[in-house]
Amino acid sequence: MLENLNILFNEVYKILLLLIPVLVSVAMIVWLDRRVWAFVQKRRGPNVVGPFGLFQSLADALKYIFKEIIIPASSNKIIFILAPIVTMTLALVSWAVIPFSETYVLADINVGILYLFAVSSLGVYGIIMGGWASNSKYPFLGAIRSAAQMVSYEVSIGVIIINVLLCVGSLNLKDIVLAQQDLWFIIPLFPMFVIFFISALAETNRPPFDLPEAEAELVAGYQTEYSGMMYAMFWLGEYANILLMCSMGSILFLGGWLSPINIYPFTLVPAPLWLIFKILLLFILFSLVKAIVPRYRYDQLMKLGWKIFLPFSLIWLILTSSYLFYFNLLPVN
Amino acid sequence: MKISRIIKTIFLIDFLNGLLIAIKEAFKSKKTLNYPFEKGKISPRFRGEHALRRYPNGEERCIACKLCEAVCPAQAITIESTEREDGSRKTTRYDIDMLKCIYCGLCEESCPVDAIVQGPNFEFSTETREELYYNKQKLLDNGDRWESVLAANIKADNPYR
Amino acid sequence: MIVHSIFFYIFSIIAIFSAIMVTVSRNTVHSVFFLILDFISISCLFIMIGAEFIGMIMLIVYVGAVAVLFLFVVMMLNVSQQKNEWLSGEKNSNHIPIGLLISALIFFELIIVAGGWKYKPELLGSFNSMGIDLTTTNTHQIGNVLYTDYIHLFQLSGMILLVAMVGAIVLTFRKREGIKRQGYFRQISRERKDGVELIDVKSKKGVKIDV
Repeated sequence: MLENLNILFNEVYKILLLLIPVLVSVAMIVWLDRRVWAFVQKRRGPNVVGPFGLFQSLADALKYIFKEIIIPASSNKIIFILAPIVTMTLALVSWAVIPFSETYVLADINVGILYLFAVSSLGVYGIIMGGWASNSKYPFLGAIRSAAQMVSYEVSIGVIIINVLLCVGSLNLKDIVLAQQDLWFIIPLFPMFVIFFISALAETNRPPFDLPEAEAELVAGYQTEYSGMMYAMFWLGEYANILLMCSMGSILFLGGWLSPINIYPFTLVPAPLWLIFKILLLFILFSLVKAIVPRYRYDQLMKLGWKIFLPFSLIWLILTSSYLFYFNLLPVN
Repeated sequence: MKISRIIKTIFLIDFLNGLLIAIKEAFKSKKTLNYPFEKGKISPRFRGEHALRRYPNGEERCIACKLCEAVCPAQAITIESTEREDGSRKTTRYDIDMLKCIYCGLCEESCPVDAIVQGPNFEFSTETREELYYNKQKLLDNGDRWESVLAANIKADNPYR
Repeated sequence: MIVHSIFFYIFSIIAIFSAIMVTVSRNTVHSVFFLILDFISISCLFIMIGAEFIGMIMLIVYVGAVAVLFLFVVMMLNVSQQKNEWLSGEKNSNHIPIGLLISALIFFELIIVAGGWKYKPELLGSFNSMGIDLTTTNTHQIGNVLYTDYIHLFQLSGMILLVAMVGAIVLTFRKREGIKRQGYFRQISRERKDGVELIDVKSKKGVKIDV
């Protein structure tokens, strides 16, 4: 019994060691996002709270905590409260399988990439539940938009993942990274990386695909009726998802924790730092895109997903598999 | 359809150009003020927080003519007056509901003795609504606090009236 | 082992409870949410018996895609009216015998499926002779079976799905005459010199814009 408790405490300790840095980095990443956005528009961005305004997100969080949570009278209360919880839990749960180095991984499961994909496909429920339970027009429209959008772009992300898996021969995230020791997949699969990046923008409802919360048309989309800490949880979940997509991109295409060149000065940097550096790089790209690109129209979004990305990634899948087959490079074990 | 256009679309050339411009612009100097620490210049005609002025000898300027009360489009001003011992007419009550006020400046225009003025201060947010119901004392205090600026502003704007 | 069985009972109780709630719940959207909970707990059970691939695929396909479509349809319907008709109207009695018949049918089918294994003991014994390698992951094993022995059936089922999809699109697609469609590629391929022309206007001469 004592041994079981020991295992339990050990696991809880490990989970906290992962979750707290993730939550803190989510707060920091919000600051970075606002700051990059401001810099591109020649503004200053948050720069008052703490050095360079680093603690702005913490101040915001404090404000959200003390704000009143308003639950609309005609809403479906249980689902209304459940929605932000689901969003945030799902966003945090998926961090369990992300390998920060060969040893730093919470759950090294065989089907890691499938797990990531499954959890990110569940993410749509937080939004649907929030939108439906609010019992109001704008959230409902936002929820429907986002559900259709996320389901469509998951398809192309799935095909892109299959592209990578063909080169690796394993669903384990560690194996995926270790397979890139000689050559990062971004080089042979560059078009897939571009499509993955754009699909990730759509999957996380980031501009230019932020139609579910298009403030010009839908007030704030599915978040319209939310306030206080519940709104903050949606917001935390959203940014945790963005970080997750960035880390997925760096694991699939940018060689995860591997250093770019395996020679002396680069090998000194610890492995997790490389992964964090790559995640940050992708995230800065995310926020630059937010600053420069106008919003898509909804039919253009759907057309891009189904008529361009899906066929293109399928064709690339056939190309990849025929190349691997012809040159006998298929990873068979 | 031109080939160059197709290539531009497929390789996202326009997008990459935009990205480069964005990165270049990000490192240029900022165009906004660092607000709480830097402030923009305010015109002498700026219509901010109200103040009741005094004559240099300390006497209130306001003669309770109630022109401002009459002209106020938002009916934010309430004045009650009485005769003082020396026979002059003075206000006993001069309230401005700053929540009703639309900062149009008509009270300032209508005042024959430059008593009620709108000063350059626009940072007077409060935590409760009650604090924004200004009474005579508050307005006179404002006037004492901003007198030098107010006098300078009125003088600067005088040639254009 | 105790922890394992505790988890098993938790998940199976949730699964059974939510399966019951799917049918009992008055609100259709709630039913779909319970269905999703059911799917999730069943995929957890799959993972617990070591079939992690099937569990994950279940999550991705059923919860991530199929249930979203269910929700879509159910949220759009104005169910409250229909529900009142079903529960209080005269038609009420018509549904019960048919429902009983179908559920009896499904029950017997389940018995046959479950009992079938008992009547074929040599099948259970043949597992060892099939030469399943316990060292490889079950993803590999499924792949090995699916893409060798059953490749034709696998391809065929894919084809059937494709045909169904094409059929659905063909049936619902109609080309309407007389409406103006937008050509996206034409829109984005417009360059500055296609639309803008700089003209030096002579004074008192004017310029003809519409050519």
